[in-house]
Amino acid sequence: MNSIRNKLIILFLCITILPLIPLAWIVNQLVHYSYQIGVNPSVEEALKSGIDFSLNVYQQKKQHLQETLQTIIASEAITEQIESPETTLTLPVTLLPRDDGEWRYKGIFIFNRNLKKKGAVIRGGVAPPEISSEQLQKFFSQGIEEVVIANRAQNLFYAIRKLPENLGVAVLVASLDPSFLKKSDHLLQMYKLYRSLHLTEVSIPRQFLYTFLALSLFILMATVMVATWFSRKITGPLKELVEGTRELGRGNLDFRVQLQSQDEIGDLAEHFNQMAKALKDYQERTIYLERMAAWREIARRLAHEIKNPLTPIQLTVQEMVDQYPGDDPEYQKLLQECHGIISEELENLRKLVHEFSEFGRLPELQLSPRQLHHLITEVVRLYPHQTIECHFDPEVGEIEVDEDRFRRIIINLLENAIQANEKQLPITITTHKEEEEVIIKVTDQGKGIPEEHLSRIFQPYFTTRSGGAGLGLAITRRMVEEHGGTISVQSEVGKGTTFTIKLPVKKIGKGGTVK
Amino acid sequence: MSSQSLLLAQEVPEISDIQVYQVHDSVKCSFRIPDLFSGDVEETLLSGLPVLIEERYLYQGEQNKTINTRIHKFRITYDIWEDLFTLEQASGFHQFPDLDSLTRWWNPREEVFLSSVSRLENVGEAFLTIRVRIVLLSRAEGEKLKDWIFHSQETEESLPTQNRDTGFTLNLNRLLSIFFRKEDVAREIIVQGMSPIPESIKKF
Repeated sequence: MNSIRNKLIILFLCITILPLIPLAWIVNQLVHYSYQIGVNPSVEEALKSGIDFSLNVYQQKKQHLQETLQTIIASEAITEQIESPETTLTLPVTLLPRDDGEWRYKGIFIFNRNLKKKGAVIRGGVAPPEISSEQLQKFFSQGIEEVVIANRAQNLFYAIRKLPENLGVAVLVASLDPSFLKKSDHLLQMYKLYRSLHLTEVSIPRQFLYTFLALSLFILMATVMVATWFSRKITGPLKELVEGTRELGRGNLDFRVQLQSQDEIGDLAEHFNQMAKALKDYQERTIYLERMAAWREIARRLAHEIKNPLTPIQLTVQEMVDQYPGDDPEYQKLLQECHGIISEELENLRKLVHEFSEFGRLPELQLSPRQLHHLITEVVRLYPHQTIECHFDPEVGEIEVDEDRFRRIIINLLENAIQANEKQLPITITTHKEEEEVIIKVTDQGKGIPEEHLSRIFQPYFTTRSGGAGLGLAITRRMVEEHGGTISVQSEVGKGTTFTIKLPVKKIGKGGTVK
Repeated sequence: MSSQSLLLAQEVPEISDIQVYQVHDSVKCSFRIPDLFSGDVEETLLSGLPVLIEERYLYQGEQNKTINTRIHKFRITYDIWEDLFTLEQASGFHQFPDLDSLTRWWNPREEVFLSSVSRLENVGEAFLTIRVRIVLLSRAEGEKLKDWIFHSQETEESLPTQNRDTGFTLNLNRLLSIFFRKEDVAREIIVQGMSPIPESIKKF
């Protein structure tokens, strides 16, 4: 049974794995294709163009800042005071230009050639962070005229320019529109990400493929679990059936498969159980028929062996009586009494022989359509001193029976009922029609039959009464079965007994087979 | 998955002109990597991504047994807005106005200190292996890329209470991100060169 289970599991795995192979290839191709939609020269070109444009605008803005500083330096406010020996300059607040939409000017600082601060104009009263002296020194040492030092993180730009005749340095501090910085930084960030994607053109799609395979593995494991469970559901009942077949092979015809399935396997189990029951019934019937055949053979032989000497014995005794002259009246009286006893016993033996003979060889069935109720009523009339109640189903009409044997059946059952009916309570006969059967029940309220005797009551030579041959119910059962019917008994000690006969309403063939 | 070099063979830089010599009590070397700042390296730098360079100097003796190791690390960035290249190392930083000046600084690498001369005392046959690892996409940048891939629906305008993702998409992203390791997203190039150590240095 394990091989079927393994085959089912392998089948499930194949169904799951095989599509995965082309699917993995397709997924890999799709991911690469999707990747190339976003990572391609045209996108890079566009990003670079955007970066270049932003750079141009940025350079222009810085240039504008430098030009603004140049204009400030050229103003009279600076040129008039720049050669002043005063350590500090008085600079008008108007020196600092208004915000022009590009720049927000925060302050101007003037340094002398020794890089000491001489003056400042600050907007808003809040001084911006000053440029460091190292940066100023570096600017001075580089020998260039002007520069813009940017601190984009804090949005502070320092335009530095040398004063005329190297009298010092002017520093204009301003901030750009934050949205411009934000957008240009965002554009650069996107370009960096694009570049990163380009560098991982192989590794990232591969990661997605590995992810797909890992998830597929998870699905595969789930499939194995489902396949194992499912295969158990299928092979479990089959295993039961195999076990049942094995038990039947060992001769255990009482084994029944316990399955609650509603599918074909459930049907198979149900039919298996029916087959087992049929085999057991067949076995029991075969045993019964073999036993009956043996009993009949014995009965026939006994009848034959016993019957023959009966007549010579009768004649001899009669001769003895006839030949006595009658001299001794006492002896003659004794002789007559003995003759009577012997004759009576011989008659009993003849009856016994007749029963044996009847059991051993019953004549052919003579079927003809008869009204059951009439036959039963005729038999009931034979017992005028016994209260017998008849409850007939009007649906029961004519059925084919052997008239004599049917009467004999009813007579045997009534005889048994009467003999058990110590309290002379009513005996009941009921008939009932069910589909293809007629059911006849004979019920008494007698002493009942012990349970341990019920299974043997239809066996030949079984009797609980003295003086009986024990063949009556055996003969009754045989006659019922010859009609294709069945007979059963239910009894309770102290309450009574019911014999139930079921006869088919169809035509009965030879040997009791129903046509 | 290990990181891999994907440059075509002709684009891979090569180490050349390796020379090992003694300067007083020190062993030094010089070498060149002429095409170091070209191809993918140049494009990566110019995009604003940092490039990490790790120089590893190994003295190896018989059966490739490592006698000594020395490592120098550099981080090079390019500020697009200010058009300025910055090279950072343990001893400080240098700034270059253009790629050519950066290249001139690098090539040749001269008088790179390897060890004291005594380190090679009684060493038999030995050679110097220079292994340069050029990281184009560091783990940190790989992590940024991974975060961007799996959280690309979020924009700067989204508020913490806003969630434009469907629950399914978000969960799938989280699920996928489990399988991505930042080290697998990194990219690097490895260049290697070898030179025997002159006998004259070992016999001092």
